[in-house]
Amino acid sequence: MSRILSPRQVVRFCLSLGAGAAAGFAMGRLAKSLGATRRTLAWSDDVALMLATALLAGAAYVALLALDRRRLARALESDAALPATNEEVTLFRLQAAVLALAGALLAAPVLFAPLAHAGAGAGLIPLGAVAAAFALQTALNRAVWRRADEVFRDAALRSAAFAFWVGQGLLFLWAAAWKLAIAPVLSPWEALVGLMILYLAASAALSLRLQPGR
Amino acid sequence: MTEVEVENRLRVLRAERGWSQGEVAQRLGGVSRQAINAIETGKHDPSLELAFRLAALFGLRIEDLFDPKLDDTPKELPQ
Repeated sequence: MSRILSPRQVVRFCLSLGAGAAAGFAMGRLAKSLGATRRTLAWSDDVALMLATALLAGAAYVALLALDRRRLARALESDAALPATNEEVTLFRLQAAVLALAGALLAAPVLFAPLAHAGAGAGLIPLGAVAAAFALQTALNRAVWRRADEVFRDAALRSAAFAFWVGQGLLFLWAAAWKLAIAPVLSPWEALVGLMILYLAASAALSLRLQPGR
Repeated sequence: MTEVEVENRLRVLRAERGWSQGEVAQRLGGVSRQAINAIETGKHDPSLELAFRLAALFGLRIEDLFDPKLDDTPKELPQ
């Protein structure tokens, strides 16, 4: 592995694996404590929790980077002469908050679903919390967009376009198959999780491509 | 529509002045050092506005900084 990656990249990869494993374990324990066990989770719930864990781990990494201006500058530019500027630190902190909220939003409906079935209207409070968090995340996303440059905006638009075109194509095929009594019904949650897979995969691929060249 | 490959001399010009990517970004304003890297490595073609600003930063014309590999063969309109 060290022939393909530098020792530093190998260390980073191992640290990220460890962080992911710890976050996943914590998420699993939390899910279990709230009554959502592996035996009762649908595939879409499993995937949603995995994506949420990845987003939270990403948020933690970005937030850590933003704590040290010189480390952040080196992450952005391999031979950085200057530390990160106030604008760069602010942008990264906003992105960390966006990622953290995205992870929480994906996990919350799964984790609180058992509570919502406790009685009529029991889901209203968790839904209110999710809606409030979604509004906050939307506002933070807008703040990131306003501060971002054309490269970031271009990557965001390409990710969204990919997710839309592929997602709507797959959704159409599934809907047609369901209409023709071939495929089972697709729940809104399952459709959303599928869409998030596409968007996050495209976003991650484009982010990787834009990593500073060596 | 065929895609045009655009080469640029940004990295060379930056090195001649001893500027880092971060310094170029700070001098320009409104653009990140990642954007400068993406332009240098051909991962992003700058907008017209950014191309003009980059050229002005180095005191050059756009065509001295960016070189699109265009096919100069005259195209004939279909009859």
